[in-house]
Amino acid sequence: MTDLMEISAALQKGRAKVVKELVEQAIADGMSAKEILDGGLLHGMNIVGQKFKINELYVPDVLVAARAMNAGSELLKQLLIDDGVKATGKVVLGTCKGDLHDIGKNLVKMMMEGKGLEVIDLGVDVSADKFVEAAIEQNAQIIACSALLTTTMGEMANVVKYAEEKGVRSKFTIMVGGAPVNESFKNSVGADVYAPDAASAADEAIAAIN
Amino acid sequence: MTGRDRIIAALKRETPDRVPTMEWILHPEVMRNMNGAESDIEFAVRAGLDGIAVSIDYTKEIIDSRHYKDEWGVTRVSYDDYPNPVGNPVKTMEDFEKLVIPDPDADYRFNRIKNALEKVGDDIAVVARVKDVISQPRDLMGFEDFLMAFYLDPELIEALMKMCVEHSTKIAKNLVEIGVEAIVIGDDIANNTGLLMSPAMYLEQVYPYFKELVGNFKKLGLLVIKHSDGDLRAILPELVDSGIDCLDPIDPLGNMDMSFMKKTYGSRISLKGNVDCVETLVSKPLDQVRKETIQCILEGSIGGGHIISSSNSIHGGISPVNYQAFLDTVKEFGVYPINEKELRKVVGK
Repeated sequence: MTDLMEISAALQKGRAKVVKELVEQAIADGMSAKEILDGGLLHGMNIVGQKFKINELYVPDVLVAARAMNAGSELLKQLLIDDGVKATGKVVLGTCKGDLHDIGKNLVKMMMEGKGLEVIDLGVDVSADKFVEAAIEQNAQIIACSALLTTTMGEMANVVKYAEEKGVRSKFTIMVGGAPVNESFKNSVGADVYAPDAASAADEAIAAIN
Repeated sequence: MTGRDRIIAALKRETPDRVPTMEWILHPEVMRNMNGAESDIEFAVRAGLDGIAVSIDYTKEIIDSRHYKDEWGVTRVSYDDYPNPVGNPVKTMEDFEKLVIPDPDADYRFNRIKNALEKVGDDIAVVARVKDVISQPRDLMGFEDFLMAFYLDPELIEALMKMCVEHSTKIAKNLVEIGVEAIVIGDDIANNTGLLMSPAMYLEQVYPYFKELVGNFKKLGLLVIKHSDGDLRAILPELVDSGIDCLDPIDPLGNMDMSFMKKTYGSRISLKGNVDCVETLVSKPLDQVRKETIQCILEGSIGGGHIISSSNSIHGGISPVNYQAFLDTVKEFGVYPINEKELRKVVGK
């Protein structure tokens, strides 16, 4: 029987090939996709997130770990659908209009997927209406907006405003983050959650859904 | 004393007649609103800045209204103030071997710098922007592939770093020949929470090349300002040991503290920074701008060795009124010898 802890450990070290082989083995052993996902992949990614938060791991470590996770989760995707397993929650994510800097957003995506959330990545340069319309269409619980620039973080206020105008504000938790964003900025634009880093963003998203 | 004299004195940890001030980036809109200037040079003269930063010229191949390809083959989207690389020509060692490296001796390479030196070089310090060893490989590979390559393809990282040392050293030789005295190496290596990679990885895979490059600059007689956003605390001793003359911007968002830096490293390097450009220079009341500027003088300027500036740049969100209040405060309270007692009274400490 495949030891799920081995999958978790290989993922934490960013060993994509090993993770893939172990997941294949676990499937062949008859373990359920959900079991492998929770006990192996998400377990490992969760530890990566926690260590990233306290500067025990850094961006390159997260990137190679996420790459390893993808190598494993690709194999599980169809099986999870077949088993009727649903994601913990759904998030629409993007960088604000005018902002093309996406490494922060991508790290948030990796961390959120590492918590079992389904992330709809709207990409870069996303307008306020696009954030909200996508969240409605996708039936998401969370809208997460990222900005690197002080000139683009103003768009976050428009996301809140647009959601209010559409009468859907209470349906969504609106999260904001990025280098120039802080708690007081979050309050000033009327968003719900500010997260200082990618791992915290994932923790906050889980807390908001629960 | 001229602005040039003040900047040079501060970089040598000497005491000029007044704390000098300069910025790396001045947003065109802010300059226009403040004094109608259409260029950095015009603005610096009118606003009384002591230095300007000028880039090396690289050609651009225009693709459409938003995209262009730079001379390194990197496709960039020029949408905001910071053209973002979206097409990266180097993914493998094979790509790197095929890469055509721009000629550091090309005749157009220093046009902007020559022009600045000719126009204002006697009065204002013309600080040339040079790349160190992170930003060019990052843009050639793309941010994520670059960072992953530290694990997945360390040989490619090594080759790219060596290329950077060689290219930037040649650039620096030419800069000295045309009369440049100071350079800024502005490759960001940190964010608000720490380095982009572990300190151990930085020290093993980046620092040796960084130190070699700074050593080359120093042998050429250049004064070297190292800029990086973010929290650099994990590698401060090594950064100072590398031979840099000045560290910038002592980023408050990254928990960097001017008074700690002055006390701990002020006898070895000069400092540039760090009046907050996220809130203070954007939207705080003018008396607060004044207080924080004076606080910065108190923390960084006593004994010389300080260039006062924003904590990053005069970006598009900066209030022209607040930036003017900052400049006025520097000119009023930054005169040497600093009257510490009076300044403390103004800030209420």
